[in-house]
Amino acid sequence: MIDFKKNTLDNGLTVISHYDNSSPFISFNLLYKVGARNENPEKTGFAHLFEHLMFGGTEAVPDIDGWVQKTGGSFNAFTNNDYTNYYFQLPKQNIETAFWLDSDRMKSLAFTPKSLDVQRSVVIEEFKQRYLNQPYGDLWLLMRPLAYKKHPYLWATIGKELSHIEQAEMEDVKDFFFSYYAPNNAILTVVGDISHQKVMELSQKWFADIERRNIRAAAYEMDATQTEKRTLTVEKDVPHNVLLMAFHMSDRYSRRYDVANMISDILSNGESSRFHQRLVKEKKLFSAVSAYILGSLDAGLFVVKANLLDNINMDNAEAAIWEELNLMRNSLVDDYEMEKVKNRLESMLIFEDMNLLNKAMELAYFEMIGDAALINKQVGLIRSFTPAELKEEAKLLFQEKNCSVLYYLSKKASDQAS
Amino acid sequence: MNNIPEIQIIDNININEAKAFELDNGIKVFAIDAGSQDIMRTDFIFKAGVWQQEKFFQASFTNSLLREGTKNYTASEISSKFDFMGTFFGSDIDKHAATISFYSLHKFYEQSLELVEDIIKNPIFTEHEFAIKKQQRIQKFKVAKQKVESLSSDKYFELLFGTSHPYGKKSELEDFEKIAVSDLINFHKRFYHSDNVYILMAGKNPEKFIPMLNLKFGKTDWKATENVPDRHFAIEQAAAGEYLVKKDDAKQSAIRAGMILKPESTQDFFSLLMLNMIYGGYFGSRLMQNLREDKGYTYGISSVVREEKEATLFLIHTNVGVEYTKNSIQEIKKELEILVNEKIDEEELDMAKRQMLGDILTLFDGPFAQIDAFQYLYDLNKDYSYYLSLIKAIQEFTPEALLETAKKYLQSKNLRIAIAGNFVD
Repeated sequence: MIDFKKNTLDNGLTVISHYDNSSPFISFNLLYKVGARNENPEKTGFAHLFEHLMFGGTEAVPDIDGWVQKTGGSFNAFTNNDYTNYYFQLPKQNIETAFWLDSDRMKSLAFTPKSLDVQRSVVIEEFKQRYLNQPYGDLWLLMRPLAYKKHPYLWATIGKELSHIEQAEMEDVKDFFFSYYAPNNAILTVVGDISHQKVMELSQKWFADIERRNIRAAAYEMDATQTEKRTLTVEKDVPHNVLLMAFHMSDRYSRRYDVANMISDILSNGESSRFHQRLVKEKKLFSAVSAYILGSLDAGLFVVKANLLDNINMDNAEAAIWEELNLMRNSLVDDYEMEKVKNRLESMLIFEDMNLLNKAMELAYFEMIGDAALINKQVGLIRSFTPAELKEEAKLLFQEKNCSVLYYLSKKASDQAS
Repeated sequence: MNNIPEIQIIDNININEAKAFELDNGIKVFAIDAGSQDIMRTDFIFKAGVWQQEKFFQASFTNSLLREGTKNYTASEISSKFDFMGTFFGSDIDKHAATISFYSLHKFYEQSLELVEDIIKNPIFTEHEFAIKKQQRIQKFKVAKQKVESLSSDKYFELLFGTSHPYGKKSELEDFEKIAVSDLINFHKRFYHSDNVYILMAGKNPEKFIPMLNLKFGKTDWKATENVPDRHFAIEQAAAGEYLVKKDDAKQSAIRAGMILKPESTQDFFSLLMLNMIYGGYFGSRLMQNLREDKGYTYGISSVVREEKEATLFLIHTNVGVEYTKNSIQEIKKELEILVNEKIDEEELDMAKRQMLGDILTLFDGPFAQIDAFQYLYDLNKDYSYYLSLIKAIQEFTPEALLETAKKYLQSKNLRIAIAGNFVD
């Protein structure tokens, strides 16, 4: 049970705190409800580029990292398709510095052309390092536009292409800031050896004078229901073949989301899972095969990813996966297997609770999707699922017409075969 | 306008020390008592790493196959039981050790331990499981050979230690054909016994579980059956300079550069840690500020000074756009030359000192970090006074003294630089 307190400032900033004295650090987490899905389709990669610029300093505090270093702490951030999350871990005696620095960069922006130039270049290198210069690095750059046709999930957080980042202008930066970075579009969580009263006092002191801003309403379209199987085949200079399948699933706000998540655990969480036992060890088709959900807020994807062993034919591989998916559709998971997966998930949650920053991030996340109190309902939710419910969900998910498949083939493997 | 918050320097680090126990057969157990959740992490550390193996992959296959079937349980029964209890089992090897770990809830500790006992004492190493693991490893091996990061890293360690030293030896695809199940059985017999292990625990109230550990692992039923002598290897360093592993289609080059350091005293080692901090040890470091924040050559660059059993290493690593490869190497050298020729500015030194103290604080943040910090000391034959001396040294560093140390150890002409990728003008 995570005991937290929540208040909202007059300007709309939500502030949540949770007391935990097990660490000499306090975790400070500020979530902005803006991500790559809010980008202009012609200017993608922007939310993430913007996150980089937030470390470039402001007029009042040109050297933000210098101040963090003086505290002896650390800070960082990440961006995904739905939101952007900034966090500090500072020694508890210096936690006020986080309030100061994050309120300062919420208040104003003063990015220099130099900072924009450099961060454009840094992000381009990040693009290369993570997506272009890695074997299989572009899997998702290929899958997203196959599975999505209209919704902005069709591009990755890093952006559709390098040119979008190269062309980012100062005007875009300003526009983005004033459209999304505002107290009324943010959630602050603080976890550590600090009272709620103190957290509210500091929040009031540093954030209260920032004005509410008009948040640009989401203007993107949802995809129409997929009606037939989509496939894409590519051949690359990689060592082995990969099969990537994606099925449309519910949005984050539905119970169906968590049921789908549990199906992915039945299939591939842990060495005793069905995929590992039957496809890796018994049938010896794959070196690894996993099922997982993407975890997005709008209607998301249920994913199966398999690395084929050299002698395995792609059709047989796909058929074997379908056999497992059909088993989920056609028969009930037995009680032992249900219990096993539930126990494992519950244990995972207990271990995750040891980490203060993790708790701070989770509280902010659950508040974003409706209510921070959901954090304490996860175990009950997991425990409540029935075999019948899983079967029903599997029937909805695992249909050929709901599936996009990427055949990512090794040039070498096909050379050898011919 | 509010005043800028006051910042306190970290001067007091609360060290929660590991408590020592001994099982009836002499196995040492070290335990951190911390945390509020009813959980426990337990590690068995065997001297059974790369250093001990006679063939490539012998240590790692032995270690990873332990859980794949025992005299009493099949591989799938073991997996099922662990998963049912929500126990997370892990195994890993490094240069000098093989580790078997499990993280479990208190209520499943005894049952988990029973399985772990069987895994450690009674593995059966079947051809079937070995073949599966081998195919998995071959695939990973081939993927790694396409990554500039692993190509440059392999080259770098070869340059520093030579091809016959375990730190520098590089395996090839053919080596997978040279290893057999009998090698694993043999390796297990020689190294996985009660005279070659110590145990670490971290979590709430570990003392409660010592009697259980003693019951399962404290007897004389798994003693050494033969005497295995320690092995020694000579280091053969390549000449300083730049070495290119060419990859024509690379979009980035991976650079690994550095040297072996031979600090004459602990004080010198501490000074090297500090110099490294300033050079490439944190976000505000000179390398990061220059190559990333000023020039945009890279997503990240960092350096580390690390004490290993056989050598103290200085290692710089980064990935840069191929078109920036030349300039990046130049800047890496230039920054090192500045470190050796110019006194560090007081303000910069103050910042790095504070960051380093903060980093020490993170070493003791939570039970798992605390046991890791203990293990670092134990493996290098140090005790907790090491951290106290380090904290004192940090507080006392001066620009003058650091400059002397830099001159003594960090000459750029000694750099071994491995580049995987391409030079493009």
